[in-house]
Amino acid sequence: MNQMPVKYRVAQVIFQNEGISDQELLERLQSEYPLDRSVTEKGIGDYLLSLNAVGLIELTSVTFNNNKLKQCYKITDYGADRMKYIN
Amino acid sequence: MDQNARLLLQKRNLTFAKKGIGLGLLTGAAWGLDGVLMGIVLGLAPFTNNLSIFAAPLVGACLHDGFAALWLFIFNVINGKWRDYARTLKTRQAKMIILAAILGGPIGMSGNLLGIYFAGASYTAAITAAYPAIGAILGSIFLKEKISPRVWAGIFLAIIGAFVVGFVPPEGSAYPHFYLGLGLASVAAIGWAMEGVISTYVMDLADSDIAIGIREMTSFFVYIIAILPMFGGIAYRILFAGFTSPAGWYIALIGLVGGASFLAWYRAMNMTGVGRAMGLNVTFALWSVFFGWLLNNLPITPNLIAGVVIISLGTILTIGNPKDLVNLRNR
Repeated sequence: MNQMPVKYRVAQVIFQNEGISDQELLERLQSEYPLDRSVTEKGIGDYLLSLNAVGLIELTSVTFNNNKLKQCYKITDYGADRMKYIN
Repeated sequence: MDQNARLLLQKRNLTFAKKGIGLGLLTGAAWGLDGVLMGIVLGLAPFTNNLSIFAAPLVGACLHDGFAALWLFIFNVINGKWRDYARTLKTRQAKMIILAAILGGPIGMSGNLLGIYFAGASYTAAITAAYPAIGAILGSIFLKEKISPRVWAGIFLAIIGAFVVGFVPPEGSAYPHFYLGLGLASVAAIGWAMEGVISTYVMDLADSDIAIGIREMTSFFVYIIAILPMFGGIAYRILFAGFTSPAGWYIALIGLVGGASFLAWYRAMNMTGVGRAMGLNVTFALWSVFFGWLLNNLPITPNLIAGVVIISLGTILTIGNPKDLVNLRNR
């Protein structure tokens, strides 16, 4: 299967699913990349922080869910523009 | 957003920013140690071969980058990221990582060495020390990075400090091709700065650990295929002699320090922006003094102390307020 790098895929999933939560994203990526040990809560969390810091994605909501932070994201205009050149 | 969620989010963002600053400081320290160790090893056989003054350090750089690439690959295997090498190489942006590698590796390093040969170490160091300023300017133009006046002041102080540390009085008219040397030193500074900006752009989407792994691998192969052949058989003789002498294996270990420095540098650029990361990276001049004194009996002169004080002040200003790092760009 011709997969894209994990961080690219994180941005692409957010681009295609506005408002997706970090937990939903993690579950989705773990099923797509079952052999990648880097696809963990911490690994994806770091990608989300990095994508947010450079302005590719932004938070739409943050809530407490089962004593954990649940964060939902959407792509920014800059992020949507970069998606054109993703492959 | 409720108050608890907001506080937790702020704390998490701040931890991420502080980690980026810590990595920026680590890259300077590791690069300072790497430079001192490489200086010691390049004084051993077979690198003391007098047949070519350029070939030996470039062979050393080639071996260094090759071993750093190997250590980085092992690191990425341990972290379960190694499959991303092939995936990243298939993307359009892989070409940009390769371009950044060539600019910062073989072109930057060759420009630096040739600059020293044609214009002397002082002027070359003065010009190449400016790469963080060039990187910060390019970063603010092309990446729209937010750099406050305080951080600009810190970057310039760190550059002045690095210049003071590296300065030795110029030797009159010993350089008939002086301006060519200045031009080549400028090529090195621009090459390093452009590497930072291009790779940071790519790392918006690419994993920084994979980007640096590909960068080091590319650098090694470009040395082998394009740079070393310029020196004919001498370079390859030194290269193969390196593998059968202790010096080559010392470089293998130094490659571990270099790999750690590059890994921290690429992560810091992604997490704190090009300007800040380069401003922290240039503190290698400070660490070179410390490790040079510790490992190589470097005499501590007044200009070294003055340079170290200036770099330290610059670093404090460059770090600034980590809260400013939560959003790096004006978009």
